[in-house]
Amino acid sequence: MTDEPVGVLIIGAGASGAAFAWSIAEAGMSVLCLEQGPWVKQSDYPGNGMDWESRAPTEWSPNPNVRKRPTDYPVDDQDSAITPVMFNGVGGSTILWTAHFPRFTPNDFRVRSLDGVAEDWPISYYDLEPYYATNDRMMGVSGLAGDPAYPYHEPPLPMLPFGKLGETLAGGFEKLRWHWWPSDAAIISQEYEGRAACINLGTCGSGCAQGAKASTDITYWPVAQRRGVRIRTGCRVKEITLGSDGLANGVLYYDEAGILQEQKAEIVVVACNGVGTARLLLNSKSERFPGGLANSSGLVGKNLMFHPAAFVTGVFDEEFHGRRGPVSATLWSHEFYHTNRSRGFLRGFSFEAVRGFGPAQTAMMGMAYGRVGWGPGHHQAYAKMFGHTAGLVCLTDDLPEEHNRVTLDTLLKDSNGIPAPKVTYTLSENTRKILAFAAERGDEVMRAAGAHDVMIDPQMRVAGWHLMGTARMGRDPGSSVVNEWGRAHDVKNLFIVDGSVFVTGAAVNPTSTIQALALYIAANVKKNLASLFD
Amino acid sequence: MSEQSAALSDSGFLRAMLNLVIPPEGGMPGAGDLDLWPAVAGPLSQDAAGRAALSAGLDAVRAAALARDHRGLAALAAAAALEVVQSVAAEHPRLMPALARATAMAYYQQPAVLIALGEPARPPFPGGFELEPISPEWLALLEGRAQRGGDSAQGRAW
Repeated sequence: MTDEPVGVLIIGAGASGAAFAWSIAEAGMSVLCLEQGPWVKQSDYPGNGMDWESRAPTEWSPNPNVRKRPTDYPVDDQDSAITPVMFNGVGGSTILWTAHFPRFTPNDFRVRSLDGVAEDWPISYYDLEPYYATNDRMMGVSGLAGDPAYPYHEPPLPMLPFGKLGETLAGGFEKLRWHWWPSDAAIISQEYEGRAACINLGTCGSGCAQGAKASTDITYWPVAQRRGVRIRTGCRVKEITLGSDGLANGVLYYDEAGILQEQKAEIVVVACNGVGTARLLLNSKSERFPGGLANSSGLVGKNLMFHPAAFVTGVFDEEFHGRRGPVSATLWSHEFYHTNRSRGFLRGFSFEAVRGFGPAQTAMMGMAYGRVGWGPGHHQAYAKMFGHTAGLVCLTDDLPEEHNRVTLDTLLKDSNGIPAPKVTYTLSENTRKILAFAAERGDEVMRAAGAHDVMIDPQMRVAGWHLMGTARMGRDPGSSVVNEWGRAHDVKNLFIVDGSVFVTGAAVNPTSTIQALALYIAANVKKNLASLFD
Repeated sequence: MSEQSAALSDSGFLRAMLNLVIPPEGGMPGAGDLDLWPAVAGPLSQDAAGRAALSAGLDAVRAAALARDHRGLAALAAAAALEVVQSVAAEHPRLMPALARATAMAYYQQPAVLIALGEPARPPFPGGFELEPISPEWLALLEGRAQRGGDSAQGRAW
């Protein structure tokens, strides 16, 4: 069966696919998005039930290898120090993210110029600035304007409640005279665009039943659909097809019944995240591109970046009710963000404060760190932890290295028989040094804030939220996969709009930048539409 | 495998076992008193190997307890019960850590436990929670440091 050809075909309905779809719909072309997962109902999220803490890490796990839904694809992560995590459905990984929403800083786009490593981006912060602002409005971002670590910008909504936990941690940063600022979060602090305000469920990481946390199924997609964009769920793309003219002419995909279908399109847009996009391109082999579509540079799948992170937990005497409130929307610090060569490494890290855990997960954490045992003494040990912990994620800048990569697994396949991705990733010496330094600073600030006990996970394994770099942008076709506005050097009507195109990874969460880039690329497609195929 | 397990068929033993993992104390109920076994066993029995390891470990504890007192684990004082569990730990090293995690996960989602902790016995949604706004003192401090729209970029770290 062949479906009617469309003007723009977007593969993936997550953070970037949604933003791109909303923007490109203005061009008046027919737009269709194929998404392998379903629409998710807010009433299905774990936070609706008493068993939310046991459902969150199992059937709602961010790790597809644990979740194992029919709509997931497996990821071979045996040779990776970090496990990639994601969600497949309308909204993509924004369904399960915690909506921490920092922008990159201007310096993050100029790493080669500043530090002599990696590459500069072909665009600057200021190219993206208007799109950051549009995206903030579309997602609904809360925060406090004026952070001196950034060029001035105004979040559209007031900052979220800070809580005693936030003030206690802020006290630690103040004592050390370190930078801190309330976090920008894509969580609405008051009613906004028909969405109800955050009521501090504390379940951000397993879906927001209130709908206050931005996920693109409730932000971009309803507006994009009103603009005429269509989404077809349960559709897993097998490969992008190529015409005799060297242009992409559509895709082959499996529908919900497992039947192979064809969809023709004039423009193909890939928005499948830094693992899924590389996988799809590598699976799209042809006589012209035997090593995978748009891969004449040989760089598709290479330069995978993750943001290796340490996690520091402080235990305090004060009662914080720490699980109540938006998980990652407290404060951030850029005190150690930029290169200071006296520290012995290049680039740096950010701190992101996170709230405490629910009753059951507090027990899990206490047991994992050997602070809470079974048997006599259990209750006393537990009482010292529950409601008394605060966390800091130390998120490191991850520089690109070609040996960190996504390839196709030779054995593992998804339920449609499509080869699964294999992730090969090791931590660089530079990253190890940043992590060790960051963990020490985390311990220092926790104790300055009053923690009497500090527990440190020096390198979180299941922390591969940020999937970047595997089809990077640049002006030179020999050293990049897409140009400065996301168009594949090799295929004029193929665009990549997700974190794959990142040149460097910065030391903050990437979604704000991913979506700003998707909007920027859409704007360039619209601007160049008349000459797109010249 | 589980059909043949004496331990898994002995509700009194399972209750005593869970009360050993999380004992009743102060205002907190014991895990064995909350009829948690199905919720505990579920995650530990997701595959044949897990089921086999669980039943083998529990059978060993039960047998050791019966050897010490013919009335079984429930009749033993806490210290003696701990000795019994420790006596099989070398042969079944993963039993107690796994049982402790599964018991705690089930236990801390029980309404009676949440109430004893001072938490509301309800799901997070739709009630939600209150959270304090930032205090005026902290806000004033930040506003004193904030850059304003139109500030020059010169000299800033970024």
